[in-house]
Amino acid sequence: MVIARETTRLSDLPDSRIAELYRAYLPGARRIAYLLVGDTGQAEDLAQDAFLKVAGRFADLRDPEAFGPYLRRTVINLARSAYRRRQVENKHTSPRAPLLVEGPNIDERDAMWRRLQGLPSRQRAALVLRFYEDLTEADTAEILHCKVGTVKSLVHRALKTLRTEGEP
Amino acid sequence: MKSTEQHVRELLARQANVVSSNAEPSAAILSRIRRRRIRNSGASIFLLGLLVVGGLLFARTLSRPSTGFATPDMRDWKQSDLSFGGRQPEAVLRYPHDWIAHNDGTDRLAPAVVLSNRAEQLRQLRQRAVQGQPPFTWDLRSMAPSGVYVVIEKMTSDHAHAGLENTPLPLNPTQAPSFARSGTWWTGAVVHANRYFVVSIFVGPQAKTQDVQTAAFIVRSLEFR
Repeated sequence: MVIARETTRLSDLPDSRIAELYRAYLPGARRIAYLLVGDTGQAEDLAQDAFLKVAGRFADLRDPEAFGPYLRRTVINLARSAYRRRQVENKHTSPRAPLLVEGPNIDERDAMWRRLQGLPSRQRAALVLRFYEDLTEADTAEILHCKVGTVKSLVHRALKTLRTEGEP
Repeated sequence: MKSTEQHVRELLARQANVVSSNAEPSAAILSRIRRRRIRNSGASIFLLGLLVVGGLLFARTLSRPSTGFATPDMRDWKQSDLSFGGRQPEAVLRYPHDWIAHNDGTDRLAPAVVLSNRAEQLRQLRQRAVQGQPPFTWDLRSMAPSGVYVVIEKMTSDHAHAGLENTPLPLNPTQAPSFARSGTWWTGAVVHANRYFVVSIFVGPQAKTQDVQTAAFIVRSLEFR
């Protein structure tokens, strides 16, 4: 989506433009949020909070056309904070039932989804960015504020955990 | 047999469809954005105000004399309170306290400030001095530890006898290493309008070297009227 250069301040953006940004970027943000936190309600809140944050800093964006990447990075940061809070919550409550899309091998996917949710937040974020967003290792490293080697390591360890725990 | 990576790719792609793809912003969302917009513009006005005030203060600083320090007008000074072994100094300044601008807006040193704040301290300083001796016999223990004092006197025969008239004040600290060291003092002669003045710089043990160097700069910048 191309955002006109001259409209670089949030106060200059009419509601129609904000709605346009929202329509263009929120579904993607919501999906990433869900893959990271595994809860639709929480993902919705998280995506909206991220949108408000990035839209609120719209005047400070060096490149307004990079709204999407900024939003994605904010979602990931917020999701990691939410993950930490949820770890505490999970200690005191029973785990929520997974919401799986119907299809073949649902048991297998159920198990894999649970294992995925059990991964540390950084490993899960690395998997989502690499295998869902199809980002390069370099782009993933930039978003996660780490080195490319760290991304490789995160993905390797995540896949190894999923593989090992999946073995009978 | 699918690899784990392939499994993960498929699972993520499939699970991403769980969430709604509806992206029409609700009135509540637009309202939240509007509130944030107002908050942001309020913050911008505040920052702009800060910038203007900062700019005015900076401009005021720049408009001061080129030395960067206030210049004393010695004609206004009351010297009756000060007597060094029977001599009266032209000025006693303490760096940096006496180089700040005063309320009259003239940026000149107010003599009352110089004398009333430091008179007692200097009186004690003088009481310990050896009468009739040049100022370098003063007892420095009564100085504020972090203080840098600049004492300007008319040159008298005492000074001349001590050979001070042939001792120029090294205004460049590299010319007199002790000058740039704290916990010490230095006295030398300054010639202005065919008159000799004795300038002594006293440096407290906790004064910084930079203060001493600045004091030397101030002495060089003084206007003797």
